[in-house]
Amino acid sequence: MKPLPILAALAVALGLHLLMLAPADLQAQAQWRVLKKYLQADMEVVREEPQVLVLAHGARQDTLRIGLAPCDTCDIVGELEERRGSNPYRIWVASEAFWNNPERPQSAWGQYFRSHFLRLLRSPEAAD
Amino acid sequence: MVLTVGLMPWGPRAQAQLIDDISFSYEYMTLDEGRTSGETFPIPRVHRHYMTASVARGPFNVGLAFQRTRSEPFAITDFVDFIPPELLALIDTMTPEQLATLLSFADDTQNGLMLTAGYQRALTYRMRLEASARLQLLNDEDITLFQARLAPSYNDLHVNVVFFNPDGNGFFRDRPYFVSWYVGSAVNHLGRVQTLLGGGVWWNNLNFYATGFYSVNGAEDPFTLEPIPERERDLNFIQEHGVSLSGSYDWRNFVFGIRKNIPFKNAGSDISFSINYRLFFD
Repeated sequence: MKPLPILAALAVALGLHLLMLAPADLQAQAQWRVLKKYLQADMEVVREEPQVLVLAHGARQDTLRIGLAPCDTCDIVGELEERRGSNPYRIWVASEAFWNNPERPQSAWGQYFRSHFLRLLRSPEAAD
Repeated sequence: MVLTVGLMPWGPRAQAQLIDDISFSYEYMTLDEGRTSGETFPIPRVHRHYMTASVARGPFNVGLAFQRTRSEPFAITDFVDFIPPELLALIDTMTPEQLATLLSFADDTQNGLMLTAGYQRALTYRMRLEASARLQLLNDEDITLFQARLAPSYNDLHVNVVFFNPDGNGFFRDRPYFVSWYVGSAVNHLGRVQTLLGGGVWWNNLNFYATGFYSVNGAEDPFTLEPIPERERDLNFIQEHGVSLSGSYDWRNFVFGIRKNIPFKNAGSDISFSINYRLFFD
């Protein structure tokens, strides 16, 4: 069995698959699935859209809005960062309002998110 | 090359923020075994030092690469156990030129300096294009045809389309892992075209990758004693098939890597160790 025809067949199949997916479709596959892994058990998903995820914390009667594109009303925004030779990856940046909100002190963020996500979360300056 | 170009989509560019950097790398490669004509055989040990310095600004990067390759002296008695009796008998009858062909690796050092350039672009949120090229600036002079087998420098072009998921594909031990794969091709100044297909996973600063390489054209057996065109004696034109396994670890601004080539046809069983330092500018 020759490898070249197999490689060519795989490449063609992949190309067709990608061409059938419009960029909007790709974006619609927003990976909230991974983000939701970072949530504490008390967090409830109120709304899930391709660009926005709204979360609620029942005991604190608080809601959080997370976006995948620049968003004035979002508490946290996911942006793509890319370095030479590596794949783009999502970084999570807190908004000014979220970062400095006295009603949501950083000491309480552990009730929303698991510690691994809080270590990833960047300050608003990171978005500049 | 054709494969890669055929996959390029024409859509809006994904908005990924590119981080500028200055990068320095060093790689040491060694091999003492090769494969050709369906057989694995020992060769005089080769040591290769490959150093690069480059700067990236936006999607472009440019730099220099210096390569020093040394082959240890060759003693036919070191390999007598691996040489078929009929070849030993043939050696006795060889002309000096034929013997030079056989010994062309031995006891030699070559230096080469190359200009490097690269480009990368996120095409969609799941796909990016990367291209890189090397251009020979300086080569050790008075290289004979046989000495050129050490390939002191290259002129080549690589194009890859990489498929990835910026959010990760799942979790392992509470940490996300990122799967990616790519299809690509490389062409060098001798016109040898290679196709590449690779896949791997990044997890917790550890990266594992496997890449299959397959030359579309090239010399079947550059070590043949039969008269063949000069180009076909050049190792840059060898028809290589095989798999490359690599692993790396990211530690702060450093990346430590190891790579092992497993040849199926006409390639070296080399192993490489590398260190890369990058200074990023936000």
